[in-house]
Amino acid sequence: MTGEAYDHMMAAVVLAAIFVASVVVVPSLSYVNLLYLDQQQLQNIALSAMKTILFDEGYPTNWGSMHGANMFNQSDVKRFGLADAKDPSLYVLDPNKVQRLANNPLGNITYDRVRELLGLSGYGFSIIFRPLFNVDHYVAPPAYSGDQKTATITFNVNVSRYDGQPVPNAIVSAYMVYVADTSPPITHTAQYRTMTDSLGRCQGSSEVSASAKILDIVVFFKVTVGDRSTLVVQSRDTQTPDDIAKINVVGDNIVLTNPPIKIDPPYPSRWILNIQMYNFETSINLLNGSRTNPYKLVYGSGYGVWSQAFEGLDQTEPAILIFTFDAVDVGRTLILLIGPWGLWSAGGIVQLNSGPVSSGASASIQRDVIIAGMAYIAELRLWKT
Amino acid sequence: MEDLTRKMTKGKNRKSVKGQMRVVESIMATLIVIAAVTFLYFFAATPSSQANDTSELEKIGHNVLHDIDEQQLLARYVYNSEWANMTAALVVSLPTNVYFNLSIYDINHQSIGHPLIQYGDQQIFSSSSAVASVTYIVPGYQTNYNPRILVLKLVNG
Repeated sequence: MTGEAYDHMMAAVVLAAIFVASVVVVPSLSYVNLLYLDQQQLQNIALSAMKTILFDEGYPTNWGSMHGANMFNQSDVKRFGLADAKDPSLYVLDPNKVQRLANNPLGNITYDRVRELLGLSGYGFSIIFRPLFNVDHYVAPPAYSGDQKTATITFNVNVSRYDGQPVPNAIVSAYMVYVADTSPPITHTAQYRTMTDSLGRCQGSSEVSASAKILDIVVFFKVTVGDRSTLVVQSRDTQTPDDIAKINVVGDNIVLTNPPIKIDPPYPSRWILNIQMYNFETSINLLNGSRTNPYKLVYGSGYGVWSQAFEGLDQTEPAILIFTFDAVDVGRTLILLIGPWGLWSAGGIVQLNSGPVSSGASASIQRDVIIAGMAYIAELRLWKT
Repeated sequence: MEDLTRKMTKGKNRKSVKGQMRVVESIMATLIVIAAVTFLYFFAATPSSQANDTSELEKIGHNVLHDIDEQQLLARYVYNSEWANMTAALVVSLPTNVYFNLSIYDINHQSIGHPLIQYGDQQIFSSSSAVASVTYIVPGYQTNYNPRILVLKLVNG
């Protein structure tokens, strides 16, 4: 009787062991296949989402600029897509829509709203737009000559691919913009062009006139590889220019808003002295302002937002807008720079949501796109939540 | 008494054999199930690995050529023989892990005789089973109609 019980127990134990082993072994045998299947499903969904993002204009077709200089309301966007309604070519995106993905003082579209419009519930995703290659740069403070009549501006640039490989023979054009302490202050520009060596590095320096004291300098770089260019803005100011004003371009409108308050009252006023549009070859004066109320920006008291329409600005797609402010009350007279449509606010990178938090399967799709005439890489990452 | 003991022992042995047989039956049944699953596993249609999927590479290749063309650079590279610029533009535009090899032909599919336009270890093109090939036609440059056929081969490095 005892032996029979032992036999049955033994049988039960062996069966259980085989069952457990089967449960563990069989799925792991097909794990690779399941992984492929999972990956392929994610890839297909990512492809479909990317197609919508890049080829669809969304609805309304001008949703990025439909509110003009007023606050953007994301609930007015009924369908999501970034394609430029004015350009029938594929992969050409509307800068007014792309800039709504980034934090924007005039309002932006949130990750949750985009996810809802794309029908991606159950999935997480991130979208990132970045230049074709990486540009590291350093600009040294101006070195004045002994007689203080000239100053030398020196810069170092390192061009590489995103995997760290150097990019040789890249043409680096440096544009130096500075304000001289005259009455009224005058904005000057100087250019320097050089090429990277086999390690992707280059150095350059330019001597500029310093007969009147230089109040502020900004240097920006246009780096070209095979005539495909990327633009990097470098501010030489010790403080961030963002504490003077936040600059937005919506359609034909230039809109300035106050940055978040970091200082105690009384809040200092700032006045727009000049706005120039720069397209590398030419510079066009858009506005001459003055230290008067129509050009004033201050917290509250009816001067919280400044905007003006410039006919044809949207079509011109300026590479850079250069602002000269009288910010004496803040402690300096300063040049402010903005690249095309706010794309340069974070080194040319616009990102909606960060990458996946877990290490599970994810799909990644990368495409070459054109925004405001310049080439970018658009990357979509998709994962299950 | 002895008979009784012998009978009991026989009964026990019979039951013991029955129990052992159940163990053997269980093992055999399990083996049959595992064999069936394994059989199915080998004959099931499995999805192809991404490493062997060239459709994404084809899309990337077409996208990059299209965008370079959109910026009005592609025709200039081809007709002005700007091969170094073309190589550099492709290198920075394609993902960092993608190797390429570009050949250019005239309308009669004769090579136009250009230096190598390539990036990465070229042996991988012959060893890999997943080489994507994209054909792109440039009709001409400025006002001249003189089509060129671009064949861009891509492989994951």
